[in-house]
Amino acid sequence: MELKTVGESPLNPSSSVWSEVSKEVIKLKPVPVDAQPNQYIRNAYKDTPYGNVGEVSLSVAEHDNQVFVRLEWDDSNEPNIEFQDAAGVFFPESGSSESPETIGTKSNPVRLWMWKNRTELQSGLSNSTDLISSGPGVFHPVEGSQSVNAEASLSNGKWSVVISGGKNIVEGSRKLGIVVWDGSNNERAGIGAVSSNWIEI
Amino acid sequence: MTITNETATNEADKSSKRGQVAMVFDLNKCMGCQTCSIACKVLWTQEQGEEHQWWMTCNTQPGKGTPKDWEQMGGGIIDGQPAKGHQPTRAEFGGGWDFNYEEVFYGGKGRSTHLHPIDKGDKTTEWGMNWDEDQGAGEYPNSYYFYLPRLCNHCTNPVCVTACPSGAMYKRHEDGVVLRDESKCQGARFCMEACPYKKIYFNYVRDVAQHCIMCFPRLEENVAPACARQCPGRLVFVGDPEDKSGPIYKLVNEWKVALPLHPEFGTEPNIFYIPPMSPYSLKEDMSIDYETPRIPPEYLEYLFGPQVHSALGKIQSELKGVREGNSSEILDTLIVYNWLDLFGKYTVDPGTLDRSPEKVAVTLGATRKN
Amino acid sequence: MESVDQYRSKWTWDRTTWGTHCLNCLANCSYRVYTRNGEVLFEEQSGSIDLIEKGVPDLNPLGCQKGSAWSQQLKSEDRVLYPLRRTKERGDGAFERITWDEALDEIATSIVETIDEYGPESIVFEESVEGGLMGQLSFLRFASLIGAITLDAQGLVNDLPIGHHITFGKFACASTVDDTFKSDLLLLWHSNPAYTSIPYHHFITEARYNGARVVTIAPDFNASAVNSDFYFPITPGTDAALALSIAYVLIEEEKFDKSFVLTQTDLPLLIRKDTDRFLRERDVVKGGSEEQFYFMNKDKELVLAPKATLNLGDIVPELSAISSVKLQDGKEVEVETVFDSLRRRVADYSPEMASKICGVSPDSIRTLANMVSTSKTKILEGFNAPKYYHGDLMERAMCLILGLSGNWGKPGTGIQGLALAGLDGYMLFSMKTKKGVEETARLLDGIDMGMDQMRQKEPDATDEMLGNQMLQLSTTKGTSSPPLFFNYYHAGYKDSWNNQSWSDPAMTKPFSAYFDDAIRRGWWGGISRPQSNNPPKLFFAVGTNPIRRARGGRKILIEKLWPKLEKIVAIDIRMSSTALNADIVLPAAMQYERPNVQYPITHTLRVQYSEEAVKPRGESKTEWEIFTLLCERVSKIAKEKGVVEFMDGRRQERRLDNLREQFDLDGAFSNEEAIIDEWIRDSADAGTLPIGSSIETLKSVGGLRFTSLGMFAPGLAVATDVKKDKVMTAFTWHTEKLLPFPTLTRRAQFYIDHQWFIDADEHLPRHKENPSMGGTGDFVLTSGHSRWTVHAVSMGNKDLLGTHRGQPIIVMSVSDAKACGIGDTDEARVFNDHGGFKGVVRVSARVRPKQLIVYNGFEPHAFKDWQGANEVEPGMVKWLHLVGKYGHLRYLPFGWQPVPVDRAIAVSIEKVREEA
Repeated sequence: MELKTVGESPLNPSSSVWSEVSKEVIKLKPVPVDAQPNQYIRNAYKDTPYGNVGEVSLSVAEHDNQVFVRLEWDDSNEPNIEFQDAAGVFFPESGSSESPETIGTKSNPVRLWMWKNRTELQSGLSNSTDLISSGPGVFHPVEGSQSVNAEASLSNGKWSVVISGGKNIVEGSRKLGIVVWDGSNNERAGIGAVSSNWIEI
Repeated sequence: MTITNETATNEADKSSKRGQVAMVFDLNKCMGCQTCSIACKVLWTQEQGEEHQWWMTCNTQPGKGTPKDWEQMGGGIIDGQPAKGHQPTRAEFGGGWDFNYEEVFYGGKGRSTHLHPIDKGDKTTEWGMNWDEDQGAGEYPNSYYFYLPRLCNHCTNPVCVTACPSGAMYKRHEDGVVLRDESKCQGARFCMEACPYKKIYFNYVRDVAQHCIMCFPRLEENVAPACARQCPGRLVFVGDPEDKSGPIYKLVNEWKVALPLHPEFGTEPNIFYIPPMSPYSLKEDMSIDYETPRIPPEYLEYLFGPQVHSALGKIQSELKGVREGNSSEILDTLIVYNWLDLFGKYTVDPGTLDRSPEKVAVTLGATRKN
Repeated sequence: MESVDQYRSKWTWDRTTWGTHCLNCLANCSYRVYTRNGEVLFEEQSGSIDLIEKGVPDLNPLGCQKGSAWSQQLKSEDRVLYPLRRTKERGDGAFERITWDEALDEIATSIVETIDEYGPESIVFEESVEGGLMGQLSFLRFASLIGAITLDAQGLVNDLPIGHHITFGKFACASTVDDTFKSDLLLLWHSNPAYTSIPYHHFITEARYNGARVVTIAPDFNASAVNSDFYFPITPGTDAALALSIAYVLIEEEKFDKSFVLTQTDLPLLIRKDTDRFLRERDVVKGGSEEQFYFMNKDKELVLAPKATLNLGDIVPELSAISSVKLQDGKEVEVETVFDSLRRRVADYSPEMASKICGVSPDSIRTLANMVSTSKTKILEGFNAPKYYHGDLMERAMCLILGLSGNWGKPGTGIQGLALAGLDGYMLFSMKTKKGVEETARLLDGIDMGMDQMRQKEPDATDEMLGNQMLQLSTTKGTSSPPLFFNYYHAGYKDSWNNQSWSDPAMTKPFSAYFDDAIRRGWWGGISRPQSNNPPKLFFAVGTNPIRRARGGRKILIEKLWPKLEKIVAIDIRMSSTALNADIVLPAAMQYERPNVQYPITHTLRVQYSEEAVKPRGESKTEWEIFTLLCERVSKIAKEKGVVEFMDGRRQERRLDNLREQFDLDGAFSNEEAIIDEWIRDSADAGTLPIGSSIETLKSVGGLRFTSLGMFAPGLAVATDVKKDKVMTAFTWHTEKLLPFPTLTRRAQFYIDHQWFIDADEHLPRHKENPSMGGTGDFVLTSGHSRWTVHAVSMGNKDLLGTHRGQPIIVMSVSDAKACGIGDTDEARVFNDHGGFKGVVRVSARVRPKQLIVYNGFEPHAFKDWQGANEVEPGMVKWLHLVGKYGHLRYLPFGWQPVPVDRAIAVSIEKVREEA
């Protein structure tokens, strides 16, 4: 996909800028259960269906040294007080040849920019985090990082989310993976849907 | 001892002997007063997001307990494998209520309204930490119930640590306290699923899980945990379970009268219980029935495993002996003539400590540099 | 790990202070309060109470969940933080914040105008313990300066074991709680210590491990039964039948302690069969005493029963003596001993017969009797029995078992009562005209001299009896009045009390006729205030909450009393029901915000200091400061209005122009610390605290154990010595020193020969059926204290509310719930002919069929329509308690008086159907 430079910050998913940017539909599939990071999760989820979001519509843009990733997917599920819808976009280190479906590995961690829908109670929390991921759910915050931002809106049964971060992260491998969690299905950590191929940008 | 966490980031210092702190609760002294619960709540869970959190609870047994129906929620280690469990929900915990004081006192509505917990549509007013208090079971007058205080079992085989994907959880080397690095916790709550005792709470404000920390800052100053030290029933022993001269070793290993709760959950708890006696039951004509135990033995076995029968038998025979004029080391231990004998080495009076924020900050700074 | 440092940082503080709580339990627990940056964080028992007796568990940690949650109550949402004035009708829940100046002006003006127009006895205060001794002192002192009425707290709350009083002339069989450990048999009877005695419950379980058998006798399988050896379910209100049946077995199987009975009780005294009265000396000898009684010896000779001692010396009274005696007028009458009469009485209560009444099986009764006869037996009674209409009969029968089996005045025995004693400095304080030791010495000398004079006048009286006389004398001068007259003339109980279908059928005429008779005979002379022509106009509730507490509920207070009151002032830490229905609400400072000590009770024999850890929140003030300000304001307004001097209802002259000077003795006691210091120093001078004690001692160690119970009536009533390294056992002066009891017969008195008692067939204890109070519903409502709060004090504490369902519950049995089609959490209505209330049902296997339990502690405004459980309680009083001037049956402050009852009210219950 083309990383198109736009004239103003398109962090707002409704920004008119996005109409100038092309969209691509990306298929997602459940993070493999065998890749889950511990025996508990592997045992507990081997027969539990997850990875509800089958596809997302992806657009990417660049502005002022920031990369903006816009994701859009259908979600008409009742929200769940326990788990919130969330999405992430992640970037491998250059030269890594591993599949994105585990969201990084111990030897080849990825940088994960994560958006999490926040409830009223969580108004004090940021809706975005900058993480290092070395496996499904094996996420560690990048200490002190404030470079990731996100905005999201839900309307007509459709989430539109824009996640942004520093362009320097993208510049190494120039490819990204996508992960989406359906909160109503208690999805979080490694329990989610992920793109099975890297998307070149 | 097998603690496996494939993503653990807290490597313990293995140079010294692994330690463990354990507790014994004597259910024959517990009156269900909730001072343990309150002591913990007042000390540790007063912040936003902690309203419904009761790291220490005491429930009437039989009962659904807290969270509601927790014993049916799975988890633990079955046949050596971590077993699937249910993550208890906010509604299943219930509690943490707000009340409409303002409306009743100052709303000018008079008797058209009354004071009550506010229903916020999240079903949290339909259960609470002690919702089935003193409900009991059996048929009057042979009703039966007793109290079961519960906190994190700080298990020898903590399946919560196993289940954590982000490596936030660990078991401390020096005293076996199971802790969570909240800066690493991603709020994924697999710990809550895996824990068979359902003693982990979720902070919906901070998006992290929390549980009993065994009052480790107190342990570090040789002060007993708040639940134990504040217990008016004098029924909580604290100490090193491997100290052969200490009451915990004797009660658990030597006399075998203290048992873990639901040993079949497979996590090897470090909290033990003296099983409860109960009054004699009554026959249909209301005469005393010395034969049929009021609490069905199978229920006690359900809770404490098959060892419960010999443990209970031992307590009862010691009691019979004392009533016949004999002395009993076991019962003298359980009497606890001196309150401080409950607490092993953790006998320091916190009121004598200098814990000024400045001083503690300096100490913490020094620890960090190391 | 660094990441968990947040928890290490949380457990820090920059100051600790001593604390205890005013939760109405008076345990004097020793807490430390931890603060940081001027904010209370948490509290914890100090655990620093010294071991008293080797081989007996210590008192630590002494506390409960309510005390351990007090820190959170400082910020509870039901706190009152500013002076408030009602803006709509009473009880509309509408207040405006006003300044202290406005509030004081308004109240002071009311006080002056009421005194001027109606006299000071139209100003009524309720006595209370909720503000601790400082709260109590403040308003009692103010009330006494202006000559107002203060209503005796005991008559309001009814924690009065009246059957103990009838038997012993007191209810002070109040050993320290650790004495429990020395028992062989503990009868938890009319008490639920697992709920109500949390700080000392461990002595029960520890006594059990020490070999004691623990028995619970209660209608429901309550929380205390859980850790008992035996549970005997009993039909509510039939306890006297059970006790008399135990007495039957003890007597018929000759398992009683004859020498104890002969020494300690009235059972060997002679009674006349023609009149059922005791045989008195004046019956036999011309000019003989009205209060001198007889034994008969084995030679059928009359022997005067010694009055000054229980020591029989050479006298060997016959326990049974059916004979005849020649009276001074020559008439020959049949006599027998009380024992003979009792034996006939208990014949009605063989285990088989009693079992039909009380539901406890005959074999259980025999088992109980056997255990009692062979064990050091202690009855751990609460204050439940006296709240039954015939609670006096139950308690007299319970005391009888102990008398027969020799179970008082020895370690591990007795029947738990109550004694507020030890802090003699507090008692002395109200007599002081200036500060300091010289004044103390003057007062102590005066008391000594007074006692000496009284001893000379009555050489056979004990100090305890003289102390009672002094106390009784003071009541005709002081402001305290039994609430009987206020309730009867003004508060609206008269109609209920006259409802004969809710009363004992032995009454041959309406209550009012007995009442008038009692007044006419002068039984309540000098204390029957306020009179019927002296209606209350200005009502102060300082830390008391009649709207929640008073039997009768809205029906009585709101409908009948409230309209008579021109002004209602509530001074409280919280928005109580009474505050919510008041005109002016003043915010009081709480524990941890002011120096205080709580009433000392002999349960723990301690006085515990509670310091000011933080400043009072909002604009709240201590009671001492509030009443100091009120003194100044009243003087100012009195001078403006020219109401400076007046005569109070006891014909004493009062001055209003220098109230503050009278109040704080010209500034000598301008703050609480100075007052508490004086109490402690004076107590040390009086010998009840270690020599040299002062407030500095308290600041250092927090609390002190009393070294003596002091010179005043409440302490003398316990009748025992305090020993440094011994558990304290009550009544040893009676059993060891053989000092007589302060009763008519000078013995533990089971036979009351007052004509009213004889007419009611209650001259000996018996079982009487509970009157169907409130109507004919087939359920009985028992209540009692909850585990979660004492009264409504903790009802704004969210942490404590979280430990239960947070709202009032009606607890009912599984079978009844099924039969009524009511499920757990369903709403139901409980009602009778007096009133009704709605609540959420709690179905429990522990409850007896046809029993309903609504634990007290919930404010009426936590019920729909603000109608709480007291709506169904008519608040009946037993007419026999109107008796006065019969030996020990005469008014004693905090003692003998009629008190409204509330247990076993007849009610019906129905499910509230969803409105269409």
